[in-house]
Amino acid sequence: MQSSSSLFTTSQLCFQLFLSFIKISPTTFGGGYAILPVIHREITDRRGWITPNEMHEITAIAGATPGGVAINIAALVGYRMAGIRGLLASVTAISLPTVMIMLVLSILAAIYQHSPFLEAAMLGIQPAIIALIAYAAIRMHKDVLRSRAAWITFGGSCILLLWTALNPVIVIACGMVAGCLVHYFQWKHAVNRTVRKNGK
Amino acid sequence: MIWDLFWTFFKLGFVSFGGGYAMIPLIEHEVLQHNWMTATEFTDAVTLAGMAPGSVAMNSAVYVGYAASGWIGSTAASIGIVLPSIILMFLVATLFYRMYHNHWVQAALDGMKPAVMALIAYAAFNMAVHSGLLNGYARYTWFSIVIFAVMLFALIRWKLHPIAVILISGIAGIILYV
Repeated sequence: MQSSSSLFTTSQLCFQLFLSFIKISPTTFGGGYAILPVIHREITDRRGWITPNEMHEITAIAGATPGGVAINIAALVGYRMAGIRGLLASVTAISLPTVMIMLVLSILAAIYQHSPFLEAAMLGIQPAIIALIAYAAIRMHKDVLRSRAAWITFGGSCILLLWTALNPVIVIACGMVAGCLVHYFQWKHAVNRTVRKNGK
Repeated sequence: MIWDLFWTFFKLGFVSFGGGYAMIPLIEHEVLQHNWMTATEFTDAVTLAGMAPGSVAMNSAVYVGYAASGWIGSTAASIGIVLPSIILMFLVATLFYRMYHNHWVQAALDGMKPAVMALIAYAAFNMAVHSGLLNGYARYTWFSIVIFAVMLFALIRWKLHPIAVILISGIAGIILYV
């Protein structure tokens, strides 16, 4: 597990993880998927700790398990880099600043909520958060939608989400089953071809 | 009281599939049952939780905890909501990295990735609908569409840093709406 950065000892790596996530944390407006571009930028582009493809896998698993997406991604990245200590360092770092900020806001709630400047700024930030989430999806498409099967799964999932009230977890489970089915048929196809070739 | 806060959010943490706004009705139910806040207070709390950085569920926990019993309550509630994630992710991570090279696990992942991508696209769409971005032709709608388009372009084309995106659009909001 600790293979990626032999330059650091585990404790140093935990500290680096802690620094990275504590920096990311206060910028996670909108929570959840809006954080993806920020994490991508820090972890895959700047630090080069994790390949884009593995990041997509981590995203998929984080979305399929309970709890906040941002916390789950931090936990998985931390574990991948430095085991359980990395996981704890990352989760603490991603939660601490937002908890502190929210605590201060709770105390200041009455004053804060009625400041016209802040309300105006929030109105401006809202569409930007939607842009960040959209960008998270767009960033995935290059690496993920590579086969016809992936396109069909993507389209099918969109249809399920838009036209049914299905729980998102069920949609992800459907994707999982679809992936296994595709794999099974490809394998069967390959076996048949070999059998036919050998029969000749 | 402190234990109650911790335990309530600990239980909620385990069932919070999808995270974020999906959890709000569950939290509301518990809050009203325990008499920690009134329904109106809770709506204000959610608005504030959505505006602040961090996940909505976690921020709501901090606010509810504070309203119920000060900063100790906040601490108890936030530890309660984050602990299930730590436990679950530890289990998932151990299992996942042990079976990472199994070809069935890879196949399942290949199917999950496009599904999660659809989920993210849907989250963006859903947020646009709920924030009233697609209603009518108000000034707010036009400004928002412009901010959205410019920021998306800047992200894709110029790889603008996400923090810059938030700062610039916040300043744009102040210029446009004050």
